[in-house]
Amino acid sequence: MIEVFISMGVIGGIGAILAVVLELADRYIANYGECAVDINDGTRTLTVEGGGSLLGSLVAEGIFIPSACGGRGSCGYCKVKIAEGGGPVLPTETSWLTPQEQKNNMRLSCQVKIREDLKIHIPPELFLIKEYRGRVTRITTLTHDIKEVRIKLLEPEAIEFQTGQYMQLTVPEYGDVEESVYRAYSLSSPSFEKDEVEFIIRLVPEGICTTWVHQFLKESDEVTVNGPHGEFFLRDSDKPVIMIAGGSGLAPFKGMLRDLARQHSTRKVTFFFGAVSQRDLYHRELMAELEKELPNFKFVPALSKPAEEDRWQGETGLITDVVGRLGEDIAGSQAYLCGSPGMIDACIAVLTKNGMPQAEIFYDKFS
Amino acid sequence: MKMTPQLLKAAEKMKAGDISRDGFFGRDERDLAAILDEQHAACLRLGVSYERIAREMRRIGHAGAGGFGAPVEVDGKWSVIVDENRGKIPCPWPHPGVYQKTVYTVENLRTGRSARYSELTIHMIFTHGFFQGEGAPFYNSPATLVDVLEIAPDTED
Amino acid sequence: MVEINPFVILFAAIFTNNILLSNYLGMCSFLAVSREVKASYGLGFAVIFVMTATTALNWLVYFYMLVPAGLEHFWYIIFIVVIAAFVQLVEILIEKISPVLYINLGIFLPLITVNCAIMGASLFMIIRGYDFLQSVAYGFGAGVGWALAIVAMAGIRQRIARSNVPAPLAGAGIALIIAGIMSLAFMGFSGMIQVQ
Repeated sequence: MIEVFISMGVIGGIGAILAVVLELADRYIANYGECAVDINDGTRTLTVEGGGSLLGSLVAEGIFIPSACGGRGSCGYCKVKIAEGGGPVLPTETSWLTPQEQKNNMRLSCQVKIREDLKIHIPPELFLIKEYRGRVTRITTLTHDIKEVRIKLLEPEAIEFQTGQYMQLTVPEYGDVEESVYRAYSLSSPSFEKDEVEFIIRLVPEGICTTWVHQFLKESDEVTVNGPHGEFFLRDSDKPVIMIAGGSGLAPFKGMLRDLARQHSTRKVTFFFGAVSQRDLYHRELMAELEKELPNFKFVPALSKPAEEDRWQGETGLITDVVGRLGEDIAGSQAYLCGSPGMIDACIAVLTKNGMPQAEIFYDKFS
Repeated sequence: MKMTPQLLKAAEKMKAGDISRDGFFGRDERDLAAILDEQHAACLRLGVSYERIAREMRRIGHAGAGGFGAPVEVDGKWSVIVDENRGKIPCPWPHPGVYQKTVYTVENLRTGRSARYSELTIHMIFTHGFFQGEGAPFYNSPATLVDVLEIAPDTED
Repeated sequence: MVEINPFVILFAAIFTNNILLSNYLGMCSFLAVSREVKASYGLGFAVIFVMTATTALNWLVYFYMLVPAGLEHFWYIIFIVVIAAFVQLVEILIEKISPVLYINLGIFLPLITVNCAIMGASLFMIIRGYDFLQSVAYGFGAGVGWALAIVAMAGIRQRIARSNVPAPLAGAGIALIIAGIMSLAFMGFSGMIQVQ
């Protein structure tokens, strides 16, 4: 009998000793304490529990570093510049970093473990990307297949963005759709409206998100959006502006024009909007109003196949023809394009042919 | 044909609500392998390979791209409307690549019959020989496509 | 047997009684990680280190804890527990001290816990009645021998990869045949010293 107890005691004792040693090691050796992460020279300082990955800690603090692989070191998107701390470059990172980047202390934030105080640099706009909860306040039917959705932000209550950027709208599970997905839509509201966002959404045949917006979404529903994303916004300059859009591509320009109207801008702006027939046109009253408010703004809708009953008096023809008719007068202007890839590619070809440098053409392709 | 693991995986993704809202099967309740067999046999009977059908769909569809949504007359035989939509869609088969959500509507001016298909439809016919199940949003039977696009049988040589 | 010089044991463990090629222990990781010389170096060094340390630890545990309590029959369980705990500890330490080494070795360390050569070395030292110094020498030697074998194997397999292996033999098949031939070659050493 006594042997049983001895053997249990010894075996248990050995196990317990090993467990205690490991527990102590975990507590004292693997404990990195609280570390301070200084972002962009004091713009923001985070205090985080050491031992975790930099990417994970930043995301937990609401700073969304782009990453496609979820921190497995297989996409190479989550690069940040680490000015101090971070240890040596790991073998898992080297294939993603050019020698130049390694010299500049660029690292993959998913591979860097926080073991000490860090000083890092990230593009400032990443601070602004957040997830917002909002409530739909208004859904307006603009044409047979385009709706405008206005969302009041609840949490956080205000957004900082540049007019023309886009956000991602989260679609919950509905009908046969068993997994929530998100889709990107341009903001059609100007950046001075901080507590509300607005989207212009065209029904895509079979589209999971657009079908939801067009058939299921109701006023006062709660939705989730994240952003802002993208680099489509009006550049500061005195050059005349040519805007070209088709379909729901009007969205960013609505915001930009309202922005300009508020600033009482005298910049010369011509907005070409391509559609097939009258039934595809929308926001004409708004554009007429903006034409009154902005002395140098002109809205030019162009129909490629006006219906008989439209009795269309305006520009007729493909948007590329209408823009092409401007000839080389456009050489000193800046162009902003938003619409389908086919239209954008064709328009860029026309613009560059007429002497506009590529560097002055900005676009948001629907892709 | 038997349902291989690859086909099972593809069939799973073709269900309504996964890649597209209504899925790729429509009213067809047979399994994917049976649909593929039947459609392949239909192509053989018509004497036209599915690759050729897809190539014609692409050629005629792309010829209408200049209209930006307005009908364009192609070769004096068809009226083609190309509608480009925001976003891309993957193929249900497990391989990389996404397809722009472009919808082609081709009307045969002589017969008045028309076919509506997407960029992904063309890919699935060309690469996988899959015309989708009857009743699916972009379903066209091989016979309809051959008729609308006026594809003559392959010549034996 | 007990009077053998530790250096002789060390030498014997590397060549004449190579734990991998004469006892065929640690085959799974030997076949799995011997595709590239670089990876096999990593695993080889990890095995040398862990084997040396665990034979020493297990010797102490066996003779100072199990033998006095009359619990020698529990040696299998205890040895495995000790090895597993030690590997865990080493992992925590390396992660703290050298992240680069951790990334390089990190994936191999969990492999080692279940490497039968590590367990085998601890069992052999008890069976053969080695004293502490001999055990450490044996553990170190067995580790070096194992590393030598896997690096040699990796070198051969890298060459084989570029030659025309009959399809049914490609991969694990040809690797096992090579291991057999290597084992025959190492038998050539066995006349040099006799330890057992």
